[in-house]
Amino acid sequence: MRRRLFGPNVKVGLGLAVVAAMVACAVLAPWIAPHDPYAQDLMARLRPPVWADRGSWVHPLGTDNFGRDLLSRLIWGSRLSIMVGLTAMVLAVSIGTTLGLLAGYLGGRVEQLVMRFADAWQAIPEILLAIVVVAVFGGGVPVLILVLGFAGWEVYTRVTFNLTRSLRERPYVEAALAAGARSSYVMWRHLLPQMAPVLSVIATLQVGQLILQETALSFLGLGLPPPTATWGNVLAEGRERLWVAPWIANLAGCAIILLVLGINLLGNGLREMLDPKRAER
Amino acid sequence: MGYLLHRLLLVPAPLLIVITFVFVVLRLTGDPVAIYLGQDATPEQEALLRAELRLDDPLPMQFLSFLGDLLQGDFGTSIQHRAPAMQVVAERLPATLELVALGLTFALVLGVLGGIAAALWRDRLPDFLLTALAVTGQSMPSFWLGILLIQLFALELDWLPTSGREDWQSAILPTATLAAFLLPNFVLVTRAAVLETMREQFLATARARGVGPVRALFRHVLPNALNPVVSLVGLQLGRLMGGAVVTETVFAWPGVGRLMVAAIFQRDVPVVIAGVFIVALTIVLANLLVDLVQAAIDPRIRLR
Amino acid sequence: MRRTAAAFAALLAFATPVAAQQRGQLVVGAAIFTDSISPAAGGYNTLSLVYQTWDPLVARDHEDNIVPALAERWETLSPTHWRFHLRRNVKWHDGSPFTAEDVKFTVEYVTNPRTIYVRKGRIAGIASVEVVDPMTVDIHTTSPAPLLLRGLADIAIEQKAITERLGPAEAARHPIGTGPWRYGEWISGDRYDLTANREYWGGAPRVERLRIRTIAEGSTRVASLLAGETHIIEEVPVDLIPSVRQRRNLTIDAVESSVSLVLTFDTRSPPFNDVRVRRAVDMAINKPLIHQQMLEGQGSVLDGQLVTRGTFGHNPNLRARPYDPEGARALLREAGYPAGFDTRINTLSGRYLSDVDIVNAAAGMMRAVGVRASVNVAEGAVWARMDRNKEQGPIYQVGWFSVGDADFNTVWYTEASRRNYWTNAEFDRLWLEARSTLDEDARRRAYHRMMEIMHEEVPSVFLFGLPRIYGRSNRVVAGWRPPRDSLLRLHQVELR
Repeated sequence: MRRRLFGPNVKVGLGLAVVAAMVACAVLAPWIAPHDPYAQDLMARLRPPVWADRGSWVHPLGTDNFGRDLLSRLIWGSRLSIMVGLTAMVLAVSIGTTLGLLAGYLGGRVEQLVMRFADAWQAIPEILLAIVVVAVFGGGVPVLILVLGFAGWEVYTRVTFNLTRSLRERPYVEAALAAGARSSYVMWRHLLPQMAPVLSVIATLQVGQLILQETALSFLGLGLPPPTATWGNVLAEGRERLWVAPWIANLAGCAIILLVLGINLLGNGLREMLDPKRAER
Repeated sequence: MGYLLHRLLLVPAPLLIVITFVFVVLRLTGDPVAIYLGQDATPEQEALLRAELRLDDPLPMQFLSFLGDLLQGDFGTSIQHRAPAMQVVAERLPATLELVALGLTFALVLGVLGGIAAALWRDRLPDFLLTALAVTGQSMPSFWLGILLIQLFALELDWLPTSGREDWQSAILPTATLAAFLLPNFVLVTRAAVLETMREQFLATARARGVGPVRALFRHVLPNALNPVVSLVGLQLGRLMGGAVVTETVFAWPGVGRLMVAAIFQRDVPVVIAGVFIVALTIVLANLLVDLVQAAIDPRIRLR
Repeated sequence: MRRTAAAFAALLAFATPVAAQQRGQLVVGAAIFTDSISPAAGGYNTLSLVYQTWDPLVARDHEDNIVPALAERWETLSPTHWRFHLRRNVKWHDGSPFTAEDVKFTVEYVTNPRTIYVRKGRIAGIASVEVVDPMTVDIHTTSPAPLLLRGLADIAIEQKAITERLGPAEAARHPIGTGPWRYGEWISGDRYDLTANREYWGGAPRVERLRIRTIAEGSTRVASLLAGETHIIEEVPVDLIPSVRQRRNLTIDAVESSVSLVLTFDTRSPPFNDVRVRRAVDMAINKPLIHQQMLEGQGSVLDGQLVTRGTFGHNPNLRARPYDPEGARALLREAGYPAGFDTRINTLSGRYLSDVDIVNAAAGMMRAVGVRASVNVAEGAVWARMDRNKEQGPIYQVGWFSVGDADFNTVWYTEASRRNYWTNAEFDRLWLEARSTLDEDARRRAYHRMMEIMHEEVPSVFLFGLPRIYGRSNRVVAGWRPPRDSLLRLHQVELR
């Protein structure tokens, strides 16, 4: 067997390290951010980062158009971005898995209803729905989570449904049912744990996508309203100054890439690790 | 034919839910008349326009009459454009279809080639580079990429126009931005699928029979590996529309995406609903095509 | 060599009445591009497209002065009776002559109560129109109407024959006007192509073809100028001004508009029913600093009054309240808010230049004196409804434009607007007086007094006269002046 340049262990390790570092930043924001992310200083607008000419250690990554410290905004921004991504994912997983379990386990009418609905949901342009909801109800954190969560449920339904159907045929499930176990108990105790690995891979990758969607909504002016510090906002505000203060957009972009890259590495690595067929390779 | 009908019949239910939701939410919040007439509006003008748009009826009545017209193929008149809503959407449709089709083709061709290359050089430098590139691409906010592309190719190098839709050159940057949004998935899925197929028994048999490696790749590996890639196309279409909204905005591309965003802001309900309908129809038809293609490349799949 | 050529060209231009027309295309990058080119529809910005193919009876120039257009001159026969003498030998794009019948038709169709015409309120005071002879029109108003001319400047004169035959909506789809450019092609959401009208009464356009492109995204718009794809762009984002300036072949043209950006209080309930609190907020905001930093010093800080300096009715004796955070805190203590209070500012995003940036900067300064203001960015349609229902909340940011006469923006503080929060009987009375006399001095006195009342009462914090910032390629050598009212006037533009 050839030596692997970049095996699943390396991927998971690297991904985990990046994600852990980012999450640590987010959690520790109040203690590690050098400045208040909302404190304006109009006399110190658009200061370049420390490595450029005129940069200084007071604002290691420079300042934005209100003279706010960019490093602090990125650190605080990671909080909301990660939180929105994670919560929306949890919502999508909950809806999708529940429906998929029900469809796969109960079969018949329920199956037809749920699965056909999931099929057809694919045809609905989710981003437009998201825009409708955010435009109408405003871009608060709960609204954003709901919108992003509802947009991504059907993947889980499909996966859970297929897995449930194949797992149902397994002897131990049939045995449990024959022994008089209640369906909900069987679902919770036997089916869900079997699916956890697959679902966790999809879910991990989805968090990255959701964080990107938040930035897209911010770009369209539909994210969390300014001055809220999110990565999407910093990037969207930075684009208006790309040729004057390129560091704002570029550093925010790099932060997003780094986190999503970490998440994707973690997800892809996990997939390779958990899939025994591929793990052999 | 029965299959086709079956697929098409599935769409109305969620579409109806979405249409109801869009109609109610947009009508309950914001006021199309106030937006259309602006702040100079006189009460008489407002009353006149409200009557013309039937905005004074109770909401359920408004909705029922809207649905009634809809069943006859009439989506109503755009408030802002003062023209039939479907016509307004149809005028913008070619631009979006062009963008989506080009982006998809581009991503598909490059993605599949990249995926094959990564699989053939598995675990070596090309694989590492391609995978890294793909995963980085997956992580990049697409509007930022678009602006960076403008900066590089239109401003620094002066090779391509910054925006607009005129000749084929103006389509390159938007296409690339949209493709970059899809490409990574195609690379990763193709790579995985090719690797999987190469492990199958039949391939070893074929090779043992003396089939050359290139012939084996094209005759045996690709047809089997392409299946997951093609179904990915179907799954990605919805996301693609989202990508199109952002891309159209960055590049001032006159497509449906921007039209719909504007219509939502203006509470131009007929245009929003006509747009949702057309986009949904496009996605359904494309998925149908995906199914047919899959059946064509893999005889094991039967349309049911 | 080039100089002799230029001199020769100048000589030629002098010798022949019409300067030789250039081949080529003028391309303009527009920030706002409405969904219609119909005179009846769309927001104010529609006029910028409408007036490429159509003309009004009287027009505004780039400095908001009233100038002759289809009417060569006019006079008042009585305070309610105006006579307009039309320009002779004006032809519609289809070759038919322009006459008084067209004017009568347009005015009657616009003022007809059954017509939905967005800007009809501009000429609401018209009682009747009479054709005196083919080149003379009389307009009667219900009361003396000092604003008739400014109102008429927003009404495009349409051709009677065509509009009657096709109906206004259909006729507007393929405009046949008297304007400097002929309709070529209109692609919604993309561009408007036009060709020069060689017979234009104001002189044939200097460039053969015109294209107005919509590029909503500010950075892309600037990129198109930097790349040489556009010759003139609207609304350069403030922070991108340096990137245009540093190019040798590009110029920034800025002009103060008549749009006044203000923060309006809901004066009906605490805390802003107390004038001391409103003054405190006014004093807490360092307007010159925001002006310098967020607007690059373009436009102006308002002189403690609603209207900008170039507007009829501006009171030269008033000055903005100086920045005084200590004084603001003292006033708040006096009003019974020693610990300050929480409040909220509503704003739109992207409607006015740097709107969200400005309001956030102001909110930061208010917080420094204890008025803990949060900023709420409202969406346009929701905003319109809140506006109509007077539910904008304690403070909202809005820009009122006057296009040159104080009447147009002071109305928003009167009961007549149905949108006012603050009310003052003297102010309302003066407003009515000023709009129903043709005596310019009396009008000016009334507005001066109204500005004083507002300065004392502070129904709004008067922030900035917003600039209009255009980017221009140096290929545009003549005939372009940045317009205060944002309407594109392009027929004299020359390209190199």
